[in-house]
Amino acid sequence: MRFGNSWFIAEILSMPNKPDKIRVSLICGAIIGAVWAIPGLNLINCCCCAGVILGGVLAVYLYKQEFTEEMQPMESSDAVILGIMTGGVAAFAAMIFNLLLLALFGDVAGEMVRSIMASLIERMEESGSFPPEAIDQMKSEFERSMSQSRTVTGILTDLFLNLIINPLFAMGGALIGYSIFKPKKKIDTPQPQARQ
Amino acid sequence: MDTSRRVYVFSLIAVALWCGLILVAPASKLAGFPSQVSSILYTAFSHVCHQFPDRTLFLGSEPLGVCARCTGIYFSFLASMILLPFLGGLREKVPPRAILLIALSPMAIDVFLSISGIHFSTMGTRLLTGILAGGVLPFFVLPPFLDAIRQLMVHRGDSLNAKQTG
Repeated sequence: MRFGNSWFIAEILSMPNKPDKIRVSLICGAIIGAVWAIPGLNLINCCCCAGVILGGVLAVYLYKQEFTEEMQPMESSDAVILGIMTGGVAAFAAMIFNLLLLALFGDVAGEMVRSIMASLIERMEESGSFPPEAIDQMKSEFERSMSQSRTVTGILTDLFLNLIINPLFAMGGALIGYSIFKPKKKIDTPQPQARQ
Repeated sequence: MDTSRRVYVFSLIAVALWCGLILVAPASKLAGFPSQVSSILYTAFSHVCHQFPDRTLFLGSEPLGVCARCTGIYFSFLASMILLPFLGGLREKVPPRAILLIALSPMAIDVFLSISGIHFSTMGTRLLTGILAGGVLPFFVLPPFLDAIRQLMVHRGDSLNAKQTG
């Protein structure tokens, strides 16, 4: 049974009559990973992982471009597999880009988040609509999460969560992309009858 | 129950669980559960949302797991998923693309106006635009998803048969 499943997975990854999914998922996964890691650009993911969803849409668009007339048309199962693969690649790419940026430029992303949070807390304190204890608790929670995120455990936790969340959202994006770009079904036109 | 129905029910439970956890994050804190429970949930949701407190709805004195816009998206996605079979949305046919555009445009405009500083979004606009977007998405996501699972199961059956006979 296990062998049967792995055989099936290998088969759907390399269908002979369809374009290769690995190349597209690597490209789009790397793009999503970069968007996830680059400070400023990563704010797009603040709205329900919009960057990851758009990455899934892009993956389907690029994959559709690789189809030729001779191939079987793209199916929704292709979009699902492509989305999951793209999300998986994106999780690893995000970790690699994050570590690279951290090594090259220091904690730029962290500083940016800190400054955004500081201005938010200032606004909350000025508005007076939040009790001071709640704001203090928020500050300490934030500092705790920031200090944890730069440890090995924090990085591995990030990777683990991204490996669950990214494939789900990228699959959602790929399905939206499939609904937008799906090939129109060919209408069978009746063959002209030969004259007798 | 056929495959599509089973996958639909499973997806519905998964989305309901996701929405439930958004509420469990503050509720567990309010109920006095160990702080690790809410901490884990808030950390998990921080991967999909900024969780800025001034843009988040509160349950009692504790913020929900995600911001108001995301709350609107997820909960209207769930409501729409529940209604989908009654509206004939489980069929393979998806609505015209224009509907998706119309549903997502208010949210995009709200975000753009807010970022550009022309008009700052309010809790109401965030929630409403989120509800509109999330309510339409299942019509574009679920039918192809159900179809995909059906295709994969057929393909898997074919693959195993071919392996056994070959």
